[in-house]
Amino acid sequence: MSKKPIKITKDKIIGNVELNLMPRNKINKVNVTGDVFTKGNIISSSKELELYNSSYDFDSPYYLYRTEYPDGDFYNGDTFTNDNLPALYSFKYTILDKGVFELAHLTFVKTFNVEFDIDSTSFPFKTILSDDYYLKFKYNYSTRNTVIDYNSYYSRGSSKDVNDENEILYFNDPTLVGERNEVENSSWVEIKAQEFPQPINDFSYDSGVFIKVLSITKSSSSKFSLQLSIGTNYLKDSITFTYSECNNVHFLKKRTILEKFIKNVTVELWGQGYSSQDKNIYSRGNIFIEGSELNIENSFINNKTTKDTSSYSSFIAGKIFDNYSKGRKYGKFTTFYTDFKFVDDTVALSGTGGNLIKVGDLLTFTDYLPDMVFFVTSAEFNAGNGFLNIEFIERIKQYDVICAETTIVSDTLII
Amino acid sequence: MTTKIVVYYPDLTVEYLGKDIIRNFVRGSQATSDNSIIYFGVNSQYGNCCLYDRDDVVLGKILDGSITSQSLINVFVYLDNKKIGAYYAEITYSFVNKFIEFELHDSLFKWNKIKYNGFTLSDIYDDPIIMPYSHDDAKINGYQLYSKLVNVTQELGEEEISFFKPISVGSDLMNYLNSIIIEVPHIECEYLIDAWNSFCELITGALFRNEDGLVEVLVYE
Repeated sequence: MSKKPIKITKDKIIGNVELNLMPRNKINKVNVTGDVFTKGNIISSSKELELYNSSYDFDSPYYLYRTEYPDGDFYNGDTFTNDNLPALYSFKYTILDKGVFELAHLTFVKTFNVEFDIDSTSFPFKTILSDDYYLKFKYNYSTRNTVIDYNSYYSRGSSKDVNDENEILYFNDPTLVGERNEVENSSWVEIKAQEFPQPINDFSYDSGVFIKVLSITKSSSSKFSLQLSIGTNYLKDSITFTYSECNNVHFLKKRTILEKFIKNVTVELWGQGYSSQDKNIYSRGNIFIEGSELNIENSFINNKTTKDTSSYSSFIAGKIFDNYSKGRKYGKFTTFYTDFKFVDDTVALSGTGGNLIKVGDLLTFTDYLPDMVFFVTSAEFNAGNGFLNIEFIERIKQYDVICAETTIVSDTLII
Repeated sequence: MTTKIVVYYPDLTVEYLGKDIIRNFVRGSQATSDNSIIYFGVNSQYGNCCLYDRDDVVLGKILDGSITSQSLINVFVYLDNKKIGAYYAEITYSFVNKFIEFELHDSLFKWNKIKYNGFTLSDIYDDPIIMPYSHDDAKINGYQLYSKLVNVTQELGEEEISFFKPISVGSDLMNYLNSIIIEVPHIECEYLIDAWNSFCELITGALFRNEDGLVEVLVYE
């Protein structure tokens, strides 16, 4: 509901009413500075997980996946812990033929709890990670050629017939020998949000490292804790067996392994968000008045802020500009502790009982400017003499004013 | 016109009347610091007065350490028995003539010293009161922003929600605020007053405390 203006008649004014125009001729230009936000797929959080060392510490349960090629027989999902983890090279191979075999990967899978810190200054966030989110990861690895002489380690399965072509060879952990070559592999792999969480036994073996999201927990307003299963193909590329034959018994002599050591995995959480990183500076409310500059820097006002359907930054800049270009009037006067009426002659202030004109009230100088309405922008009361110093500014918006008097006494105005 | 000034010292309340008021109070509110320049921001009430320390009651409190420079002193000023201002005071005591000079500020002045780092899109999205438009974004309108800042101010231990009163000056402020859409609402700031100043710039208005102790919003249109 609209307020009514308080009527200020000339008998309420001590001295003059000082009236000024805003310095419209001193505006050089109106510029606007603000943030440009782009909505799109942006990175939210990145974590680098060290796997190289953790592959050896065995301080938590591992899932050991083993594949025996070329027969394609899988032994997936056996769980090993510190207590029952087999030695790295004590697993068995089924020897089907002479020669060189591409075989076997031994996949270690370890579970990591990773807390992603959301860059919440630029992200719209969900209470859960949904379709808008996905993981990307890449890994680095090093390789090592290891040559193992099994002459001293070989033992034959005692329960097997020596003529059995599918004889199973057992061997124990040999001494690792080889040279390590650092190799960088930075290809990115994406896991779409729709794909997680996934059951752990859905691992495929097409890549050297696998990441699956087992669970998602929202730990705070800007943090998501993801339980990730990260699997690495410890033995991936090739194993070459050299063996000799004696009385139809295969004697394993040497094994050459090209080992791949996953050193670390970088996991990134991506999603739909607003990027403020590429914010640009563009025109908004720098107003130059008498060589001075009024800067408005406001993060609420950016290229995504609107009033109705128009840009709010241009709206506010235009509004400020209009204040000056239209010569908005402002001024001050002194009145005293007494009664006042509204322009429709109803009682506004009783004059006693602590009632005062206050900031936010509307005024109309009915003797001088009956068609104009002013905001009270400052009201200072001196209890020593009962004077009330009022500052005001013109109200621009059209307002229906009921005026009883229309006489303008211009010589009391200082313009 | 009668005036009364009630001062709440630590463990001591004194009413000053008549001759005990050496210089009567001046109190004011400013929505703009300079009318010739459009200024949008928070403006606190101010005031000053000079009172006489009859019977050395305040002096005694100063000497025994009850009143220090860190003491919180509240001052209520009354005009014709109506309270027209509530302030925090900084005092200067003159041992020569037992005059106490009071510089008065309302609670908005304290917002300059209250740490506040702003809020993020995530905060908006998760805010159970603000309730953003949809689950696809966190955009809010100007009134929701106002509500957010009111809640923040209350959470920081300042002002009851009932103290805030968005006033309509010649137009429907609610409609005006609702027409402002902030699709990327966030602010990084250092003090509470920074956030409120930004709000005032957004709405091209001012925030101040009125004589009834209410925090009002004034939009210049």
